[in-house]
Amino acid sequence: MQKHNLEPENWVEKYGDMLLNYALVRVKERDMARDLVQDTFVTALKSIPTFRGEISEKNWLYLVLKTRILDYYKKKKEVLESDMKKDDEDDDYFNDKGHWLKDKLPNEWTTERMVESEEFMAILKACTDKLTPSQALVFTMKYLDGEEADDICKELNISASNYWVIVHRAKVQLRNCLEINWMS
Amino acid sequence: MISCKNATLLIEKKLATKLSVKERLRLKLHLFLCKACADYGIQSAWIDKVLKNLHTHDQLSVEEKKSMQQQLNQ
Repeated sequence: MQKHNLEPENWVEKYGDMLLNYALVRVKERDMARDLVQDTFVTALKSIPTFRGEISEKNWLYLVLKTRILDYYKKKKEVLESDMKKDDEDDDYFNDKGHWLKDKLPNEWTTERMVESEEFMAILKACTDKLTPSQALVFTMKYLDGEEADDICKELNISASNYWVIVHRAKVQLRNCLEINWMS
Repeated sequence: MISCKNATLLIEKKLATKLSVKERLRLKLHLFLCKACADYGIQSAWIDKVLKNLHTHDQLSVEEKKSMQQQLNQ
């Protein structure tokens, strides 16, 4: 198997923007994303002796950044927990019997409008920005990283039923936001 | 019959994993009778597809890169 090498002198130029975008979709605030990238480079540099060359330099840096982001969320765990509790309590979409509230009832979408235009992607982005921090984190791991439910639960230390409640609530909210802003 | 809230939760599960036979039957019956949730199911599957294409295109400024490089050189 080919052994990979590290070239720290090229990291910032080669991977800076990529890592920034990776962090940005996860933490939202640009300053925080930039600090996490900076932190990643410094941590990686210190960890060079542990690099065994089994994965590429790029993937290794992504791994370091991912750990930094999870650490960041663990520090914010209280926010995450109160967020989840809130998700459980109030429901803006279903009544206490679990039926759709009248004004939230999904309408049929005209399929010819369901194209992925730039305009639509902008609306999608605006709608995902409205998700709560825990919803956004779960969504990123699920859709952008393509992680399995089991792994996400383990990494965030949440139960499977908690996970599905978050995914469900987020999707109901997102769908409604798209319907209001795109279909009307 | 299961509620719309439960039905849509099962729709989300179904998009990612396999449902049990019982869950599948319950969902099928609900979707047969409930147009709103059936629409939700179609739309949700479509949203799943486009979500995977969502990216940002930001860049580090020259100054930011410089300061990162400086820290690495220390």
